[in-house]
Amino acid sequence: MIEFRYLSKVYDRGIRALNNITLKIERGEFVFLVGLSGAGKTTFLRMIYADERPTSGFVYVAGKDVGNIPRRNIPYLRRQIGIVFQDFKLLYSKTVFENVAFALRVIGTKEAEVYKRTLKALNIVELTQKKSCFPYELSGGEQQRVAIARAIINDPPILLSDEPTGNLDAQLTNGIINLFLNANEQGTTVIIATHDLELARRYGGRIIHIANGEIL
Amino acid sequence: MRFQTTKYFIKEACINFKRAGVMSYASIGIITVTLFVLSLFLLFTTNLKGVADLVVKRTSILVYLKDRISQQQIIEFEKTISEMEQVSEVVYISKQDALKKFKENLGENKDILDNLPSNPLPNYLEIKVKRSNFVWEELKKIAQELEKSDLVTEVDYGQRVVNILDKITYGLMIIIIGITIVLGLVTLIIISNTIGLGLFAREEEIAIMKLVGATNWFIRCPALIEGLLQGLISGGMAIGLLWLLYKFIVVKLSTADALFQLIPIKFIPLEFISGILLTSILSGCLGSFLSLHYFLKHK
Ligand SMILES: Nc1ncnc2c1ncn2[C@@H]1O[C@H](COP(=O)(O)OP(=O)(O)O)[C@@H](O)[C@H]1O
Ligand SMILES: [Mg+2]
Repeated sequence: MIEFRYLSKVYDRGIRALNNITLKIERGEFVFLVGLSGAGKTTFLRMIYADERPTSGFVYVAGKDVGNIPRRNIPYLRRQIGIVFQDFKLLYSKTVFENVAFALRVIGTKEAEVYKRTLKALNIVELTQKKSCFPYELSGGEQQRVAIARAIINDPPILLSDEPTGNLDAQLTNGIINLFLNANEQGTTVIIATHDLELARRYGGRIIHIANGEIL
Repeated sequence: MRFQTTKYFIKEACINFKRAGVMSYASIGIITVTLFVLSLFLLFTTNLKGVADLVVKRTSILVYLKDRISQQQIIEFEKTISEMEQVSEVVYISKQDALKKFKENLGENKDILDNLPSNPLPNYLEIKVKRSNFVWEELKKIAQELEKSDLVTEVDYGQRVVNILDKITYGLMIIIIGITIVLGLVTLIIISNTIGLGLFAREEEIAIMKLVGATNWFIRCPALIEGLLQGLISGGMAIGLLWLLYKFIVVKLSTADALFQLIPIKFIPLEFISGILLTSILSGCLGSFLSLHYFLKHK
């Protein structure tokens, strides 16, 4: 499903965030990407949704050469990938409902269906009560669940999550990982980036260790 | 594009417009003022010709006739002229009448004409032209028509004045068209920047939308509609202001000197109104488009 081949990413000022990475993640895998802060986890994920282009080497997603994807095709790639960003990246001027619905609107979903599916997704993350709230009216954990609802609403074949448990208590963390596990059971390929090795061990699944931009 | 999505875009545009709050009103204010200045020039242009025509309106056409033509020929010629559409009155003034008139004009000095061996003045026709729908182009046309007749030695329609006016208004027209174009461009730039400023505040939102899979057009459309809306409102307000100013001038003039009362102040024609609205809408859209271009292409 996802394949890195000799991929390196060097940011401006010569920071080598990823170094000669080659690996394969199969369809339907549940993967933890584990490494310390600054190891290159976020950069790794950004390669997959073409937020940055590799400096050298290749990244393939569903057989497509994402490193060289034409700009105009990027939106269509991203619609195949549900992303829960480390900082959530919610639209702060929109309500919870509109934030989640946005992922459906960009693909031109009919209004009745937008309504139905958004409510369903909000129900899954237990935020139905807060659907008319704005993100700044929510706690960090709630904002994160909005981000998750937006990521899963399209039933994308790939789910990426960057530090989903950053500052949550154990119970909330468990709930969130279970959401990803459920999606995984439906066949979704899931990659969760985390600095928390214990967490990764707890849930099983494949663990990819990353340090200083290299896979161990 | 789907109706569904179009509806969403329009709703988005309105929400964004409202949310920008003071910013929206500020840009509408700036755009309105700019367009108002532009429309002032257009009002000036519209009325320039009217004022010039007024000056010419005081002139009549004098047709000097050859000496040896029969009374019959003169009467027929008079008749043909008075049948011309724009002519309201034709008066024949004979040599003798002309001399008498001339003497009257001389007043105290009329004695100097007493010693003339013969009357040097020609017979002539004085043609008055209908006041309404009268411009000097027509005056010129009539005069040129009459000049062709072999009964005529010369036609005097105040050529000198007309020619000078012609040149002045032609020059002014070019200057005004130039100013209008420059103002139009300035308007465009101001509007673009003003609307762009509003969009800059949304830079992060736009980046997020792209990360969630929005195409450039999906982001552009609401912004374009918003720009269109701002442009339309501003254009409408500028024209409204101009209309108020116009009404004010008309009222002022109607109580002013008799001379000014004759100036037929007109409001800008429909073409100019559409021009202003088109400029405002286009610059609104262009403003959105150009400022979004930065985010959409460089990120
Ligand atoms: N946009 C960027 N520009 C320059 N350097 C960056 C950028 N993003 C990340 N880096 C650097 O790349 C390295 C890896 O960062 P990142 O992928 O965010 O690691 P992690 O997510 O594991 O904490 C770090 O040294 C970081 O400073
Ligand atoms: Mg990170």
